[in-house]
Amino acid sequence: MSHPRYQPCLGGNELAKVLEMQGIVKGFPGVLANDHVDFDLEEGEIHALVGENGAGKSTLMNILYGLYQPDEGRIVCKGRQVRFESPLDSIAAGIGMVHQHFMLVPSFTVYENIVLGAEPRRRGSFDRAKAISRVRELAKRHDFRIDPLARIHNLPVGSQQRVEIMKSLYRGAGILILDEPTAVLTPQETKELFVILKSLARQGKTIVFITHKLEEVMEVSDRVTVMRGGKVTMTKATAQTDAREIARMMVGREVFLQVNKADLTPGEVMLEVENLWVADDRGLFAVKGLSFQVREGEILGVAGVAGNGQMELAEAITGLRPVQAGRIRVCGQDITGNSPFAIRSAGLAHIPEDRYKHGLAKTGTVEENAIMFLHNFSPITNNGLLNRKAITEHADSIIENFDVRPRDRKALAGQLSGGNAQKLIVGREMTLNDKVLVACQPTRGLDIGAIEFLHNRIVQQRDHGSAVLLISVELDEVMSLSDWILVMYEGKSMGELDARAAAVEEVGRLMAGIGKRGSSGKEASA
Amino acid sequence: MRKVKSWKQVLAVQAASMISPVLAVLVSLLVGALIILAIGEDPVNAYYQMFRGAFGDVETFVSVLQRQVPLLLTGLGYAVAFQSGLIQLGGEGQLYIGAFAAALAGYLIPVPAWLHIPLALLIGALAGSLYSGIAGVLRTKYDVSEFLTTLMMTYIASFLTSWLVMYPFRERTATNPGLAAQTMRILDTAKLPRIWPGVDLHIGYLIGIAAAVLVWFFLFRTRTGYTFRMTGFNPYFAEYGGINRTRTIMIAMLLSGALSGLAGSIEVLGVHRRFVDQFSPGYGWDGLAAAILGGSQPLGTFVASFLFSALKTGALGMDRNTMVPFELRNVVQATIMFFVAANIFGSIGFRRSKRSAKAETKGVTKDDSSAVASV
Amino acid sequence: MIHLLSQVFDTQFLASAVRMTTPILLAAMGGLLCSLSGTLNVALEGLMLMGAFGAVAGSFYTGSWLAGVGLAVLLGTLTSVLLSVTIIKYKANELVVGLAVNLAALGATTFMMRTLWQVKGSFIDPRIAPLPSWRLPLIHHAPVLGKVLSGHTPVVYASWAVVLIINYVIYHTAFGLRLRATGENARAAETLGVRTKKLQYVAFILSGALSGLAGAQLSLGLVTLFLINMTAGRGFVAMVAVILGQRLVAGVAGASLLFGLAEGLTMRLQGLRIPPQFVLMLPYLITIITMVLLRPRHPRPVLPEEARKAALEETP
Repeated sequence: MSHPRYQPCLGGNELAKVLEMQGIVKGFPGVLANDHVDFDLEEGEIHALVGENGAGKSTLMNILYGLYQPDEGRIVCKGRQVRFESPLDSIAAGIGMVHQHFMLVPSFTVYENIVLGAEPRRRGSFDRAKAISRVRELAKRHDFRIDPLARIHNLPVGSQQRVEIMKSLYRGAGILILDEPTAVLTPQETKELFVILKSLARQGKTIVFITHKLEEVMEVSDRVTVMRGGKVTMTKATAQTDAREIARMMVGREVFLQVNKADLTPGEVMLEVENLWVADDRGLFAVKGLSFQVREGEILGVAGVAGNGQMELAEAITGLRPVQAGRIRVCGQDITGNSPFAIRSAGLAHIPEDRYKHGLAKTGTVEENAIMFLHNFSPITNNGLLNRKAITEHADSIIENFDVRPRDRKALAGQLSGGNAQKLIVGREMTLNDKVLVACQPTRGLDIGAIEFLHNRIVQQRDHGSAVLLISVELDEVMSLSDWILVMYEGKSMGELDARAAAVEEVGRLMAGIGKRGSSGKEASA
Repeated sequence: MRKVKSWKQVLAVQAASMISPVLAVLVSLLVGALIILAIGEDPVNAYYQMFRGAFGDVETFVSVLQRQVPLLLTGLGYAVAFQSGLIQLGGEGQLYIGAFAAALAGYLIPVPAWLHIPLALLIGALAGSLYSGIAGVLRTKYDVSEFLTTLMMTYIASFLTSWLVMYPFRERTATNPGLAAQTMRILDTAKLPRIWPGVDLHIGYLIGIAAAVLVWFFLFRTRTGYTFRMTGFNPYFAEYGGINRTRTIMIAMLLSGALSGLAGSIEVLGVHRRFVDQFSPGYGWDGLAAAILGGSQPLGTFVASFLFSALKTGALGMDRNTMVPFELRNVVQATIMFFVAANIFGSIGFRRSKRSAKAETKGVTKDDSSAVASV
Repeated sequence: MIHLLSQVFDTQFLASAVRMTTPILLAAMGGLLCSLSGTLNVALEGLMLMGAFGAVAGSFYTGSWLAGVGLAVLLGTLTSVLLSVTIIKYKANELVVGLAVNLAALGATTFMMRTLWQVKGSFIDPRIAPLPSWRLPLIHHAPVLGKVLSGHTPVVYASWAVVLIINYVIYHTAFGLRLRATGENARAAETLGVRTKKLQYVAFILSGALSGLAGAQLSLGLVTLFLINMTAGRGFVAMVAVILGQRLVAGVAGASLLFGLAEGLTMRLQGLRIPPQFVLMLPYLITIITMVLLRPRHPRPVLPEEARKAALEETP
């Protein structure tokens, strides 16, 4: 009775290839995320999948996990073509995924999280004793040191990740996909994870390991597939390549988006961060003693893998997150701990990372979105009353100058496309003509045309004498726009480089945490 | 050219936003007709009698307008809160507190009429405002959801005014030897005058219209109104833009309570002339239905409060002249509110925007789940 | 003072508190199920009112209290199904639509009262069969316990069973595990094949049935009549009990008992020339105060040594 796609991929098969993805094509509006991708897995290997953000790795793995359906191409499992219409299909086929954001129930115990949805039962009730003993057994078999009775919210991140892995193993997964598993781990936890992964591979499990960090690729993987711009640029045994080659294949020789910018002599320091400490939502430090300066007519690009404290840095500077220690000065004025209003008043504009969370009110009109913050001042308001004429003119000028479409100031912001919504935000913030601009992921998810447009605008802003702090996980973007590059790794600065002289490989190494160790932020900025 | 086109678009948007509530009303009336049929009566005649009961002559029409005032004012109070993203449901309680304060001001302060009326109204509004301000403080200072506190405080207000009027402020005169739970009658100087001599409509109606215009002007034409609406649309965006959240929540709560307090004051000064224990037949709840049907817009709330008042007044006539009981209007009104709230006829203002904002920003989803988790 | 206390806290008071606890307890258990599944049932009040009406109607027309209870459960359940479809399927705002159901229940019951019995305000009739009082074997003749725990209606005893069953279902069955997982992290549950929407429907259906039963105790147990809006906010009090009980079965039951005691106290104090309004206010005041006291607090991150030193250095 069982449909072919429910057959487990593994078991009693002599074929070395446990899974093949052939000619996978997946497009999203404006982006071709996977462009005829071939990818295969051999039994018992650790296969690293590397590439920059937007290279198409996540899309490929989401297709494999049944979250997306490919436009073209096929998945072959054990010599038989399969279709994964939902994660349930892929789970049934023996594929497990450990997401970057864990899918755990925090108040539940370890064993409850593991057996959820496939609970052992005895006479209708949940057989806790059996669940516990099965989880114990599972932990013992794979040599996981974990207490099945511990509650998830009491566990460190590394242990939570092990629970995620055990969830897949409990369901008999033969293939494990780990999405950037080390992004959230400490170096010690990373080492422990590698021990586990190697031992799982020895037991015949196949592991896909998605990462940016080349050091880790070299350390743990058997084979490596590199993706760039939706295509596979290389698949090789790890032993036959090296970090330099991988970095080259990952980033590409040429920087794609070339921006013309004039040489400028930077002026006064406009934004100064000194020994800044900021905590994340969990109360752990995400920014650890960071210091830097940005001067007039200068773009400082902050490069780094997502989750190394960049978001917390931006939120602290703009007043959206409390500062635990350190000083921030905007135009010479100490604004540490001030409200967003005071910080903006001191002369700071902000292009936020999440344009729909902080950047816009989707149910408001373009006009209403265009006057945020300006609503405090004349001519937008006079004596507390909104000046309709001035609002209309202001909105129209943003629509005109930043090419926001449709050209309708009464349209709802939520109806604009991503690119036009971002143009509206950038237009609003740049029209403030502030001395400091903090731009976070300004081009995320946009098409090439919009990216070019916004890049030119950011450079123009610098040419007009603004100090620009550009925070981006797109290495191309940072490399092509910045005058100076600061690489962030685990909340600290790995060093500041002159953008004209910096090599992509060098920046890539620093992003991976390799390199001039001991060059703390303080020394770098001094 | 472009101007004409955008005019049309504006009209189209307006028309589209009307479709859902109008459909809700029509379908609910249809549901009402089915119910009338089910109890063996003639729906056409019942609705005709209901129409006559509301618009049959000047007298009934005047009482429609009179009843509309407390619905309109409490409805405007909810509209201000909802537009600011606050789930303030305590209009009924604020109405009681405001009414009681206005009644005291009405008989305790001997001043001339030109001063007495505005003073009593102001005191009533202020009392309602301070009362809802408590929930504002609990929200801003202790992060306790205003949804439950305002509901709880509605019961407290009802018991508190009940005690006040039964014990310390009970009227004990020769005509009322402590039998009825009510305060002294207000002085003549505090009575709201009629708009036209001979027509039993007091100037409270004009105050209601003025309040609707002012609330509209405040929300859509002033800087502070803009900050309220942006906070309601997306509190994270508001914070990012430098809008002070605590200040916005506090002012919105105070203003919302003031409008409900004013509603109670006008009832006392214009209709009952004293505070009577449990005098409100659920004005605060009818006002909530009006605000929801009206999409939290002042004009919409005005129209909806008129409709609900006409429904109520007309139902009295229907009750007199047919076998269909007055309570049919409760069913129809609740069905209207249900259809609008249940989002079955597409999306308008208040409900949908909040939901989608919740679903689409991670941060809000977290907020949402914690709100649910706390209940 | 001692005299007063002994006058208040006797077995009669405790027995009435037990009776008064039942409606709140049943509704709160329903609210708890919805809350655990990650939804919010604001309509407990209206569902209970439908139950109270159904109980009187069923009992009046058949002369059987059992039929009354059956109709109460049925009306509560049907109303809750309607509510849950709008929330789960149409994604309506659970607050607004829940409030609408409360108002609709109020309207529907008053309308039916007028239509069926031509009365306003209240409906009393000798043909309404009240819930019987059952004596518990053994316990009935025990000295104090007998007077407090025995001689109640079947619904009171049923409510005790409901608490035990819900406790078992929530903590000892796969259903309970999945229900709680749905409420806490629906996406995680979904990726493991848990049908979260189905669980939420079940929670709403059960909460409708339990609220209906609560209404039956109200109109056929505590009294034998139907009164306009006779739930008088008990549905909201039940919501509060869910919060105060921190969404634990035992906690919610405890909080319900607290409110039952407050209501029993209210009845006793009414004879003692203490203004009843203050007593009636107590549950609501207690709720607000507790919400403030039990609010979640976020721990402040502790600065590491190096940062603290740096911070000290730069302070002028």
